[in-house]
Amino acid sequence: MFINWTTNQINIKVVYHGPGLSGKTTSLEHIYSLTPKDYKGDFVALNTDEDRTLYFDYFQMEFGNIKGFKPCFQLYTVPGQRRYFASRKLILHGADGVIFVADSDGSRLQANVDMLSLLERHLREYGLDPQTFPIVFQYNKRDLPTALSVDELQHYLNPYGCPYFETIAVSGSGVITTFKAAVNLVVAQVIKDL
Amino acid sequence: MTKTSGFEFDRFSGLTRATQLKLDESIRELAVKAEASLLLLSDKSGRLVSIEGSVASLDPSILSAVSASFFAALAEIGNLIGESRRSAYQYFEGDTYKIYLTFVNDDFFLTAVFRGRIPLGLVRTYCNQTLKKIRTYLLEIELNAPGEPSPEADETADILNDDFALALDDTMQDIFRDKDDEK
Repeated sequence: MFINWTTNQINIKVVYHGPGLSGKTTSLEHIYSLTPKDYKGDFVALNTDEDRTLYFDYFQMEFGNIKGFKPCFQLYTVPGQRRYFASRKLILHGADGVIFVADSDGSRLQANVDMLSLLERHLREYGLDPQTFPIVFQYNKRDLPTALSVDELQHYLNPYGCPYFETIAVSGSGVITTFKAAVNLVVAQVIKDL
Repeated sequence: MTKTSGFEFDRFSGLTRATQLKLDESIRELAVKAEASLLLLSDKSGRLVSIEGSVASLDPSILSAVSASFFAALAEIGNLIGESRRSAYQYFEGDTYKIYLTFVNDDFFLTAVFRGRIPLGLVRTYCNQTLKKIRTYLLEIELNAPGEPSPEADETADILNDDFALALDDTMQDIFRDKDDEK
């Protein structure tokens, strides 16, 4: 977070993290589609030929004027594929909060666990404590017949008791609710740290 | 010792109003000298610190984010072949615009978008002159780094409080009214 004292912008960075094909880009696209034009910049996606995220998806959301200042959220996704290790770490740099999009499919449990472990490792490498860093879990693909129960996901992924939400990103179900909760959590943490 | 959030880690918490004004002034002067259409000072994670000018239909925050990723990708390519020395600058030449990107220091870079009237060599010279000044100002951020109270600390605390959080939440409720999607 930093305040630009010339433009009175309060800049906050939120990163959608998680394994490949878990629904990070779909979630960001959903938020973008529902955000009125006056509140958002352009959406940029650096994709591979197969429409997989190569580097990141990004857009900036501005929340008007609050107490004379303009809260401005930079929203990123990281590439989920394992080989983009370096990109994920760099995009996490300067992040104020993370929405971890977990794939509820039972066959993807290990991918979730591995990616969460990488996230924690990267946070530590930036000198941050994963136990207190603002993370919200988005348990996606809840409509799958092979989805694990929320209790199972909580057991394997969320030992620190971070907030969590169930979503179906392809229909948008739960995505906005998760996003709003993440924003509130990030802002609360920033205030706490002052 | 680990920190509790990105805020304590963030060196920008030491960015004071006085430093910001000096950075803005340097960027403004350089834009005039180099006849740049758009000049951005960004940090390596792509956040905009200072901006001067505009290019039609171009969102500067996107240019900043993509430029940061470009530098990062180059650094990674260097790492892959065992080279740790970073590339000092990059240059893109289009039909209408040229883009010159250069590191300020380990954490910040400058992006200049300009038309073809000024030779690249001159743009580089002007940039290098400005970089020296900017580096000095950025040192002031280091001096005000976390651990030392910023002159704006009280003002920041006055802005970012529970009232702010409530107002932000209200704004989000308005933006996404009737679009709430809880299952």
